[in-house]
Amino acid sequence: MSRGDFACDLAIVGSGPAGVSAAWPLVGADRRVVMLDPGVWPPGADIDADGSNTSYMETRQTDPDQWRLFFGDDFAALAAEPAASPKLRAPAHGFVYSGFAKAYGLSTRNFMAVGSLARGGLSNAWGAGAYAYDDDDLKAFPVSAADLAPSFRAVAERIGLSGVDDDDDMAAFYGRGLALQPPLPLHDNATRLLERYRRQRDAVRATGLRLGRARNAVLSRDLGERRACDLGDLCLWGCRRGAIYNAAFEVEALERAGGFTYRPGVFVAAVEPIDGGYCLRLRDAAGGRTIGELTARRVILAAGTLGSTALVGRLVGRLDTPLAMQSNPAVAFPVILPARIGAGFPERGFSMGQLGYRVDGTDESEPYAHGVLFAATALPMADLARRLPFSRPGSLAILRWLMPSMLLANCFLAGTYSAHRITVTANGLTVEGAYGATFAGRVRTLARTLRAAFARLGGLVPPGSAQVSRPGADIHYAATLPMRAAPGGGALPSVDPGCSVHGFDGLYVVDGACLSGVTAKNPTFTIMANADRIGRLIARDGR
Amino acid sequence: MNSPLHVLVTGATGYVGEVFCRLAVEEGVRLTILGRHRPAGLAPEVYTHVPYALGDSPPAEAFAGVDAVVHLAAASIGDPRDGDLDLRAAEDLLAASRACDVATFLFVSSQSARPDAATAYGRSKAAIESLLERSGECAVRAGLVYGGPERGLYGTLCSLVRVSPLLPVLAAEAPVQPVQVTELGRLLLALARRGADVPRRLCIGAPRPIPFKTFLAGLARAKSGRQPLLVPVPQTLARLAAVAAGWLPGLAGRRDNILGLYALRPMDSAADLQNLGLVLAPFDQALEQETARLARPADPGDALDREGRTLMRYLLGRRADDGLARRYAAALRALGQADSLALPAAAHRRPWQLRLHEPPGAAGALEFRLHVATSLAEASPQGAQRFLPTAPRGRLRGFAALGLLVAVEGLLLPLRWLLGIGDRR
Repeated sequence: MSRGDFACDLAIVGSGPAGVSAAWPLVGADRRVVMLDPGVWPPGADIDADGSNTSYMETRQTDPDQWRLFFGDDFAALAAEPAASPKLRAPAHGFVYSGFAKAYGLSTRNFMAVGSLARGGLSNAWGAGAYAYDDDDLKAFPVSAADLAPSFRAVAERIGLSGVDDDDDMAAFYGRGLALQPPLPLHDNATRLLERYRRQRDAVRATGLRLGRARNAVLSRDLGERRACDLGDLCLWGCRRGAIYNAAFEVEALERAGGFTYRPGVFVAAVEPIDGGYCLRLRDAAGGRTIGELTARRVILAAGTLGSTALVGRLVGRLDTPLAMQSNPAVAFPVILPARIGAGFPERGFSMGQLGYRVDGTDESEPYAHGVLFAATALPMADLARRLPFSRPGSLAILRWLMPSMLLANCFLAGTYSAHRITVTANGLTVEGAYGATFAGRVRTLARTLRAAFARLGGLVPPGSAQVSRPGADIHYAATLPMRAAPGGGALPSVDPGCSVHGFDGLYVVDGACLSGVTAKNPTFTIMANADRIGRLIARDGR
Repeated sequence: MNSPLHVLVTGATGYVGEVFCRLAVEEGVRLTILGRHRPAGLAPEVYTHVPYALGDSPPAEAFAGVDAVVHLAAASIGDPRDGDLDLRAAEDLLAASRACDVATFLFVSSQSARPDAATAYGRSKAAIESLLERSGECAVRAGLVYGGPERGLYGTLCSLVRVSPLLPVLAAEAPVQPVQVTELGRLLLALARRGADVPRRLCIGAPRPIPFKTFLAGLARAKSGRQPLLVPVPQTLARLAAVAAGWLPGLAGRRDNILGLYALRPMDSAADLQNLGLVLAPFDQALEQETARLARPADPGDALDREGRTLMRYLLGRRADDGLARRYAAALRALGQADSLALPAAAHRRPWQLRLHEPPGAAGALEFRLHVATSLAEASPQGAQRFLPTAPRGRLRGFAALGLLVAVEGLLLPLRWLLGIGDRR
């Protein structure tokens, strides 16, 4: 078939980290690459590096209109689900999530399904933890760490990571040999915890815990148009500096690189095979009205696990069948440092990960758990106060003393502890969340280990304070279309080591759906590296 | 009558006086108010204020053209030693009234009025009653007055039943005969219109006496929404407590109330009520209706603003900047919740009391409202000043403060469990 018969050589569905990472190796080559995306992008979302960036503390202390920042003009954030992280409620992030459930016809049971139709996808509001899967993590994959190494390096350089590469017990775990900017300065609580760890390293490691500095996709030095973090502590509420990596920032750069067209306002409703390629059925950005179609020789699906699963499910006609999906069950808990009671709230800081830690499983079969520690400065006291059993003014008075001495921790468990089911229907998606049978027991042993380990570090984890998050709250949905060396016997087709869907030449999946499984390490950076790898493979293919 | 009724009132700032004056103004009655202070709830143009204190010589010109005198003021309510003062004041007022040919003189007396009453209050009332001899002079013996503004003895009882669902009951069997304050006020107005055609004495109270404990139980149900647990207090103990209370400043009057309860005897109000053609509402029904009416404010908007001011004061420990309270109301309206909660009236005057009413661990309407108020209070410069200190404050001080806070909150927990407001609207 001649080249002119297809609207483009390559269509990428989705503008999140996966789609963008797959695009880079392909631009500049003699290809017609089109990125299709609903691309919701309000005017206030661009980088505003020169605009005033009053710090969080200054805003709190002086701005009489700050309530608009925290709740929105319509106070919508006040009615949001109490357990949700501020990231999910911040009015500045409203555009990230709006319209997603409706566009996909999404319904859930015991599952918190979060997705995005925005330019840049969920990277508009992610936690920015950037960790590379190593060979242990890739045990279930038909690719090795060596296969991914060049991509890890390329992505790290492209997006800007900050952290430490050595003299740190988590550096190897997060990935060595990557370009790193210097780490951001730590909150005093984190510094204290880390110093204590260094003094008692052997004793703490004996409990199975390893602690080190976090590795974040947050700039400590300017990079292109993006500005370094200035410790304004607005990470959760909408930072305009561009310090936190967001795939949306790369779309314009991709266009400038040539051979690449970004087409927003488009929701891909279906992918159908045609002779020599695929036809994409397009709807408007809200997923409502049909607006046309696009033909492409090859299609890269990067719509996010939920979206890509829907497209492939309808393509193969596997409807109304529950399919396995993994995510990282999560637990959250506070760590109080009694030595720091009486401290004040710092004027400046950052609200992303300060420290990271890893907890061994109690035996060979139990995978490790991984978590990150955050400062509590920019968290609304109201949310914590309502969880305490005391009167509201009493709780607030207590938190006034406690919060400056606290770190908040999350802890993720491997995807093998999840047992979610996703069902594709003719017009929608249903997700039913569940934890595996061994989850409850694992959480108990984990809580004991963490309490003991942090106690050695001078940290108190109050009894009963650990909260298991709702299934899906981690938003690391994965492994519905897993990479397998040979076609599996699953309800949905798997993808080959080149992420091409088995039985469908030229159709690729590069988002979380293609992971063979998720360990307790956040998979985003690995997804990006894998997408970069696939982009390179396709570019080399030369068809 | 062409010209409106002109009534002279003493004790207009008291419990019954406040209601009487409001009713009078509603009926277009012209008021002359004798007293030290102006009444709070009345527009200045509807009455004439004449400064006067019990024991003063009443200004004769105030009585000119007056159709009726309603004498409610009594010093011996506050201090029983003022029984003599009350008697002399009544003599003077009666003389002034007779001198100006005032047609009606109404003296509001009490069920406990008896020459040999156990309390100075009762004896004083009886002594004043004996002064009345001319036609048109009437003593209205009122039973236990209840309802309306929570003041006087009624107010004390309301506070009592709100604080604790465990009610210590003194004089459980005392035969009280309740009369609603509005009914009493209307009766006084009706009598004032009758000129000289009033009996010497009227007994106004429930025709069949009610045990005091039953009255308290009904009051508790209406005011706190819960069935109270009545704990009868033995008489000796009660008397001792009363005597002890009498030594405390300001509580001497309450001592007399308590002792008076024990000596209370029923009065025959049935005949008087029948002659007047007056049927008193049963007290529990009247209380229930009143509570229901109060729970639905005339202007829901104002109620939400008031709720906001109260909750903000509760959380911030002081009055919130104006914007905060209004923002609370705006937020609730934006979230589709324009109804205000029926917070106890006392909580609006003393917001700290809400600490007792937060049900532990519950996720009810109050909890959500508190969350909204806390979130908004926090997100303000005033909130930052209160909740977000930047200077270090010392570890020892922190531990001490935390210990104290947790201890106090721990003590509050059982009370909150008992008194917590659930989904009450």
